[in-house]
Amino acid sequence: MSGSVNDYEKCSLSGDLDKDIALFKNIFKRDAVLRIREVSVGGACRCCLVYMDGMVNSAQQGETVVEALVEATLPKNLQPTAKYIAQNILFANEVGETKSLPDMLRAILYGDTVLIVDGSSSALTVNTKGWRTRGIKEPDSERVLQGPREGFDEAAMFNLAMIRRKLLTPDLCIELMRIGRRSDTPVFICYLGSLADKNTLKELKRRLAKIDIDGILDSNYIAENIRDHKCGILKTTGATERPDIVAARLLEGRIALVVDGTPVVLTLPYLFSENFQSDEDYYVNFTAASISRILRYICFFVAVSVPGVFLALVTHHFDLLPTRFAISVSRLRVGVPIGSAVECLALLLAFEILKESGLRMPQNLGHALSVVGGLVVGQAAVEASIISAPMLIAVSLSAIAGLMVPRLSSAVLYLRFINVIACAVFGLYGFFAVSALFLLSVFNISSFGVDYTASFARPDAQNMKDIFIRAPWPKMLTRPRFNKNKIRKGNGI
Amino acid sequence: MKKTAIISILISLISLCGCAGYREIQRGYFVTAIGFTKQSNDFGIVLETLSPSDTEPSGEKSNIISGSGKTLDAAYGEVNQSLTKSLYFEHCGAIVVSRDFTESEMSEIFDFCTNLYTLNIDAYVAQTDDVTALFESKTADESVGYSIIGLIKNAGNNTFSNQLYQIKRRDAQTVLPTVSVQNNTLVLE
Repeated sequence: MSGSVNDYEKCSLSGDLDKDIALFKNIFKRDAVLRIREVSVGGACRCCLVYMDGMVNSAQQGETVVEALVEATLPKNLQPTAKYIAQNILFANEVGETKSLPDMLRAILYGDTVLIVDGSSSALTVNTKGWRTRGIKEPDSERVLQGPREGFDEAAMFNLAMIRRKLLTPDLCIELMRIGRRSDTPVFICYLGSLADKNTLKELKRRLAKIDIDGILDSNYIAENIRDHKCGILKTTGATERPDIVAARLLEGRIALVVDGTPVVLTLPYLFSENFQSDEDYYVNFTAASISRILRYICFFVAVSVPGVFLALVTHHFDLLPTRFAISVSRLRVGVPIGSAVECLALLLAFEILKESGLRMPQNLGHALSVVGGLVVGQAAVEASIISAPMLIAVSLSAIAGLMVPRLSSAVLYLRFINVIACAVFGLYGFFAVSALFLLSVFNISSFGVDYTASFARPDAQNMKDIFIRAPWPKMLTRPRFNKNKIRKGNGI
Repeated sequence: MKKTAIISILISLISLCGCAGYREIQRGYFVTAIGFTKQSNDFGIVLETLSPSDTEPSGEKSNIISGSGKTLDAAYGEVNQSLTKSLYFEHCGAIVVSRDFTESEMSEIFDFCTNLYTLNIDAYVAQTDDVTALFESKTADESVGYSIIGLIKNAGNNTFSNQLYQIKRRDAQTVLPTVSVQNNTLVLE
């Protein structure tokens, strides 16, 4: 027994209600929330409802199933079948008939009610889902000042409805896959049939089918399993909690993965330039959006390079500093007991600790922590000559700049540390070597067969319209380069 | 296996080179000018260094350090003995030599300067009658080195690198600009 519902593939209902009830009781023998309720249909036929307490909408179940069954009037000498009950008695909107025991178990576990009829080897699955959801809220990590403010929640069906509300077209395809041996998590593949690349879709399904894992509790379980470079520092699948972003990605010919139980939806293929795009870029004036985007590129460079380059300058290349600045740095470092390299690494580590503890703290304590950690401890450490002010400034500048590119946070973290170590050992040569290796790796990776840097491949005006700047909407004539169906406007589809 | 071997070699390379050239900025004096003098048969070296000022929070002060010996290395050794910190020559703006050096002694001085591997090769070279008096003169700019730069930067290409280039080509040596002190002011003759 693998623990999956598929273990019961070879079992089926016997048609004898008592035996079938015993079968369900046996399957869920250690589950205290399973409910089995026997009902008589019009006083002539026995049947029973099998469901999970807390997962069904009791009022809806009572009205559309129980009341309908109890108050039904059957023609004389009729032994009702499951099909007859579905067509003539139940009030429920969504009723399915199945002979497959795994399908019945899935329905029960997903909040539906299974109706077993005496004398019938098939059962009815009635949609009575009623579990609580968090509701539509603006995602904390993707707040915007202007534009839609709705975010996904943990119920995949609601999330799919939110996407569909944005794209009112029958071209929107939604395919279901179940992943996780024990969790049997529904994963929905969404794409626009006329825009999505067939090969990418095929490759995605192949990779999804290969996932062999006990359970999927978040979309990151899938992201890490399907990514092209398992140990790379750059992510090759996008993640968002906003339906407008997913809809925009689908319109560019990308594919979205909606995983039940998490508000985070994956989009792919994912390109390097997407790390610098923000949701708000498309909702504000293009001039402001373009400046913000250029700032993000600059901030990425600053976040990655400033601590390392500053360290290289004050430990290897004094000649590149103006004399007065060098003397000023020298003065401020007098009395600091630790070397510049260790000081820089320690400050970076302290910043990461502050960031991590700030995330785990209750929100109202977070501000106090930043004041205590950033201002009080920082200033006290400088005054006590434990650290020097210039290094604190360099690391803080890098830390602040890093916040501008949240999608590259892990890459920034690693590159920052690698740069500092390389600069401490080799000076600026180390910095240029690391930069060259990083660029090589960026240009070497791909996301589902699409070059990660496809956007930079041919620097023509149309291709650059949404890379370093955000062109005005009337000028955005084509979809991203990886999409074979390029034309977005005019005669295009 | 191959990957592991490459990574191991790279890590070893990093650790074996032992942070070559790593220096702490506060553990040294910034030399702004070097002077070479001749005292009977001895060589003398006079250095002007800049360090943070004790009185002004954001200012700097210049110090004169000197040493002498039978050879330039011996003179430099004496200078080093009197110091508690290293000497950083990256910000050296001027090399001043005494007028009474012979051509062979000048070559020796240039060799010595070449061996100071961190020396700023764009430092200007000048000559004077009395190096010590020049270094000890109080100028408005505080640093003698930078006062000399201001004085001679427009008087032809007299940088150390250019002088070296001419020596290598065995060209006739250019006449170095002469700097002197008159009423506590540096003057180009």
